[in-house]
Amino acid sequence: MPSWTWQGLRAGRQTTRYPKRPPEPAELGMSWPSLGAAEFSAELAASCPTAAISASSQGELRIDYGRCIGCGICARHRPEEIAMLRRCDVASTARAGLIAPELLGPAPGPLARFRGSLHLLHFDAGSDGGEESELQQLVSPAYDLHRLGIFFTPSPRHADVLLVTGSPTAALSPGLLEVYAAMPAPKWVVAYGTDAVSGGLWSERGVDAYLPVDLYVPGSPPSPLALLRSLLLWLGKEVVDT
Amino acid sequence: MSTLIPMAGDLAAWRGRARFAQLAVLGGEVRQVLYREGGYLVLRAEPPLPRLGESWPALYWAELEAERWYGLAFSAQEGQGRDLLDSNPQLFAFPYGPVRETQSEAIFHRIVSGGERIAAVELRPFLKRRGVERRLGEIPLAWLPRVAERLAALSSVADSLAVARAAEAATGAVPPPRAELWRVVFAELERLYNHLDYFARQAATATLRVGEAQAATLKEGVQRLAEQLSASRFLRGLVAVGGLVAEPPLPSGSWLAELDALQRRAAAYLDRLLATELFVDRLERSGAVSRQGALDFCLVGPSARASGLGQDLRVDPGYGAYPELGLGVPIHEEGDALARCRVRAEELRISFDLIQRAVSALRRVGGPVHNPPGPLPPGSEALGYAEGPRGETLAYLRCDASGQPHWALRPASQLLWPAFAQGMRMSSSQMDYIINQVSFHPLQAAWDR
Repeated sequence: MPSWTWQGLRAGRQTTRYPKRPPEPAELGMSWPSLGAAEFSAELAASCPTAAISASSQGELRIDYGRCIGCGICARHRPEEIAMLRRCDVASTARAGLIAPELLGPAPGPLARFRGSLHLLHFDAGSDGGEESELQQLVSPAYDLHRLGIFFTPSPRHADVLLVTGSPTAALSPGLLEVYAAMPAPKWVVAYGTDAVSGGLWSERGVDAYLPVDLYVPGSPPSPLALLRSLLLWLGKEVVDT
Repeated sequence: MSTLIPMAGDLAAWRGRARFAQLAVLGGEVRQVLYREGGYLVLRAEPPLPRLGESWPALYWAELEAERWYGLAFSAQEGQGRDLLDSNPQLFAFPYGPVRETQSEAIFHRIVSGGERIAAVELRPFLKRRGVERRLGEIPLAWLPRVAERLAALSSVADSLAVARAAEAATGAVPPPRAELWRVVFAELERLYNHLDYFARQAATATLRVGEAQAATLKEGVQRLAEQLSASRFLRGLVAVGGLVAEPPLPSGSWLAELDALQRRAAAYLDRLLATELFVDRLERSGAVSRQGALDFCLVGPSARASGLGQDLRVDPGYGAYPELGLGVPIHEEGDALARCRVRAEELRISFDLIQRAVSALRRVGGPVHNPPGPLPPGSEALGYAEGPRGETLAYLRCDASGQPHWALRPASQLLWPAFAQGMRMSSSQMDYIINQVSFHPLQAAWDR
């Protein structure tokens, strides 16, 4: 019988050096449209499958990263002006902070003053399984969330944070409210993935139509590092981005 | 690219002569799709339909879905578990899900048991129904693959290929040869990280934590290679109706070296895993589906090939660049969880080889990667199919006389979940439940649509 322990030790360190060192390009994960000098047009707005493109009151181009699924259709409409860029820093504590170009990163949350560990309860409210796959990678050796004092728990009674994936469906939204009610206060909610943030392709309702959301991490799906980074910033920890 | 052979007749008469593939309800019209060696047959059915699910188990859920979501009329039918409970007061039922162990999809089952043994697993699907088919009917042709690839993340390529191939068949936009080679690279990369995801989860069910971690690390490696080609860890944003959205960067020497290294590490990993008695003993004879059972449930993909059925759409009927690249189909006869594991282990090696061969063919075959499609012709009908990591994925398109498209998707998971429930029935202890749920590796998001 092979010795798995020996094999595991021999493999050496597999884990990212983030947050002590900047992320490797391969860890960034998802590409987002960067606005550059692009100007708004109704035709450009109509090219977006999730209606993420709009104009500000001054007529300037805005992209709602809370609705964007990174499909790249807008970049092909304006190849000289809009580029798709890999980045893992799209997240915010306020829904309005996700509208490019005025992005607001996650602000330190109420737990920033404390040093204890954080326990997350994951609730799938109707995702396409991509977020779940990335959560599994997050606890695998490549990212190893546990080394940073952040853990998953299967019980609402032990959870500080409800991590919701997917736009809540009619069948699962009652369960979402029930699970939230079963968590002891103080408690917080993270919307993980574009569907959870805004409903994405499927609906106009994100998690914040049901529960107060404290941290928005959009993406289709967001990379493991995007969640790791935004949780650390929300916890008031230091991260090295560049 | 004609994929459909219209036939007249009664679906029940085809039992034993063809494999049932899909019951599609498209804007009030009903199509029954069958597969017979070499191609798909389609029957136009007039409602009301006779209910066949009792005698032909593969139809049970297809009929239930058509009834529940599209209003087709069928006679009432009781759940199997409730029958058991009524007839045996020793049995009790308890719920499993939808909130369960972390980082997993929401599923909801009722497990009927008398103690240690499972008498039945009742499935409760559609909690995650988002209306993907309806959405496909509302959007322009260019968006179809972008929506289809969000049916289920782990089968993004297979689902977008099935939908794109249906639209290509309807519009006559044949993808250029270079696009077909790229599609092989994407589809096989997807198969790699799906099978590695399976090995990670299956090792976890046998409490092999290092085995789980190593497969997850390999999966991460493949996803990063995929990300370098497509800027997406799930190979999204690549497939277009008529070929590809854009030419991806040709794999560099370091990309190929990394693929080679992953292939060697995966081979060593699988040798270790299948030499671990603890693992093999847990899977052997667990959740067995006989050859006849696989035929009754119309099993597809690795699960069918583990029960002695040699079906693989890449070989029969063959599509895209697969016939020129050539591939073998691993078949095992035992039908248990171990056979499903062995089939995937052999497929992993085949997929690595296919990627290498497709990449070297890409250096020889030039030309464009996109053949722009025209509009969908009113009155057209087409079927798109692709062999995904879990097996046959189907997309049926019917464009009505006014030009309104109607879509019906049939992901592999729709056939895998019921077969899993059957594999559990009357034969397994509760310990086998999670092992076999992983062993079929179905996706709830794909079934729920």
